[in-house]
Amino acid sequence: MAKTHPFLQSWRFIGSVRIAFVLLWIIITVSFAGALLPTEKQPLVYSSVWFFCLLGLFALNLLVCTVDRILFNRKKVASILTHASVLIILSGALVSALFGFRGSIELSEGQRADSFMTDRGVRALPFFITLEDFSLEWYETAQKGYPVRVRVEDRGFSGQYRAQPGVEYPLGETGYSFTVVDYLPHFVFDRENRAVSRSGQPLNPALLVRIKGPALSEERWIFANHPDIEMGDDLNIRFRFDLQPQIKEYRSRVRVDDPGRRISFSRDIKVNAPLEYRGYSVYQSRYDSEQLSWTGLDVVYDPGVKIVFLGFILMNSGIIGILYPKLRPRGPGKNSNI
Amino acid sequence: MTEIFLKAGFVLYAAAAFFIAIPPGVLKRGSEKLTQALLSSGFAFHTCAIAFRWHAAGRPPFASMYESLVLFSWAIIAVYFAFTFLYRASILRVPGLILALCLMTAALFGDSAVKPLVPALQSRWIGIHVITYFIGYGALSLAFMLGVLYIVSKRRAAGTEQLRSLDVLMYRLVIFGFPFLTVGMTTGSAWADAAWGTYWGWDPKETCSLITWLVYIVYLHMRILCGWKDTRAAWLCIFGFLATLFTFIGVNFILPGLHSYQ
Repeated sequence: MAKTHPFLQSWRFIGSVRIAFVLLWIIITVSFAGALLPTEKQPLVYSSVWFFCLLGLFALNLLVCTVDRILFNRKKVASILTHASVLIILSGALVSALFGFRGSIELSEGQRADSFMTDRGVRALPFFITLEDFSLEWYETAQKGYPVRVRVEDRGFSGQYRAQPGVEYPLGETGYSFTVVDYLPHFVFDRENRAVSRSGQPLNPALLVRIKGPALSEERWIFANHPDIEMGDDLNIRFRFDLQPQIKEYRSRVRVDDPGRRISFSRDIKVNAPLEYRGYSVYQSRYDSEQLSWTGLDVVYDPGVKIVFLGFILMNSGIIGILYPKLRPRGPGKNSNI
Repeated sequence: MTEIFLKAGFVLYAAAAFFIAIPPGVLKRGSEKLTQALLSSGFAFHTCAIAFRWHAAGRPPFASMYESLVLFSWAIIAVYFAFTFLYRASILRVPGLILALCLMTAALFGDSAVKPLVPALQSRWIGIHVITYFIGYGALSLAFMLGVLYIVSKRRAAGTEQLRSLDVLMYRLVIFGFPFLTVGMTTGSAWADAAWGTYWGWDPKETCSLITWLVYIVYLHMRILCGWKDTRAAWLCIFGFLATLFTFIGVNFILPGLHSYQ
């Protein structure tokens, strides 16, 4: 038997499945250890030089294995494609790490920006971005009435209601009944100590209930965000207002002006729908429920992302190409009547 | 409506399990067909439960734990039917029913309220990301059950054709499920890029999904290239599914991150 050349021996060793096996277990263990760390300490693992080196060694193993297949085993097209796709993904990630950056812009309505803030200082944008409008939308949570829980202490009575305004709800045999009189989404006291709503946003939802009892009748405010605050004369009857407002959507309407290219347009930016222009992506990131003319946007420049996604498409095709032909019913196990 | 259909599906699966549990010879001929009919109609009700939920919620019903459990159990039975069609693998019926009934029980005792989607979940990626992941989970959970069966029956049936078939079926379940896992992971990455501008952020859920994927990569390489067709392969299948379970449920409680709204 012909003796293999030492170079070929080392080459095969570097690209061997044994090395891959060892490296994969190290990557699995290290990745898991990193996930156990608190979020702020995770970069100590995932952004460290030694973790990059570990991924570099894995990439080398893959590269040698892929080149070996291209040179000596070209028939395994799907396998070559899959291994190459992982290399493409890793190179995309490298491009992201080396040439990508992210930062943020904070804008009030009418304000214009031509730069954004990153960890390493201010960076210029090749266009202007102006916030035309910010809007916050909530889910309609009281469609079927206001969710109210009532307890009458001395009678051991408790009940849950979807209370419609103006409708009187008798509370069993307790002699009590209640009616929802008013709803304020953003309850505050004004200067004259009157209850008013500061805005249409459900930031401090409050319900005014009229209680008719055996001894007296009264009106009482109950608060969704402050269940412990319940001011009333007859505290034998207690209420809970279970409204949990949930945000449906928040969006920034922005105008992009690119004087160099004489381009100007308006666009909505929402979560899951960023603005993409000249290689930059602008994401809806933050808002201030107390100051709804303000928005926080994230700006990302990442030339690696397209390379990574190309790798994803190739990897999925390659894996299906390798594995699904093996599913053909043939040989042992075809009729595995066991 | 969803609850009624889900309960009907559960009862029909339970009835099928009852007929399977009766020792052979006790019942007259035809019980096999009856069992299959119960399973098929249970699956039809289960599918309708998901369809009605989808219609009622006005969005893909894959957001809450209740919805995930209903889909997970559906995927297990769907994979069972696919494998029955491809290989007449009747052995999958018992593990499939055990898993599906357990998951459905958890769903039926859970909070079934339709919850509105938070902005991050309102994406066109939700359908493909979640469905592909759960079909993958369905196949890999069945492979896990076969892995356990392999280890348990190894001593009794060492070297037999049955044990070999068990290994082949386990392998086929992994090669069926793994591409779904890959599509699920990569579409999740595309979704993260659309929502946050980071296709990979080492969020605990992302990291654990990568770990799970790598464990099955190890299994496939060892099985295909190094001839691991024995206990080692079975243990890898078991470990892989435990990693899957941790990714699906464990992370939410132990390692909260971006996915913790679940």
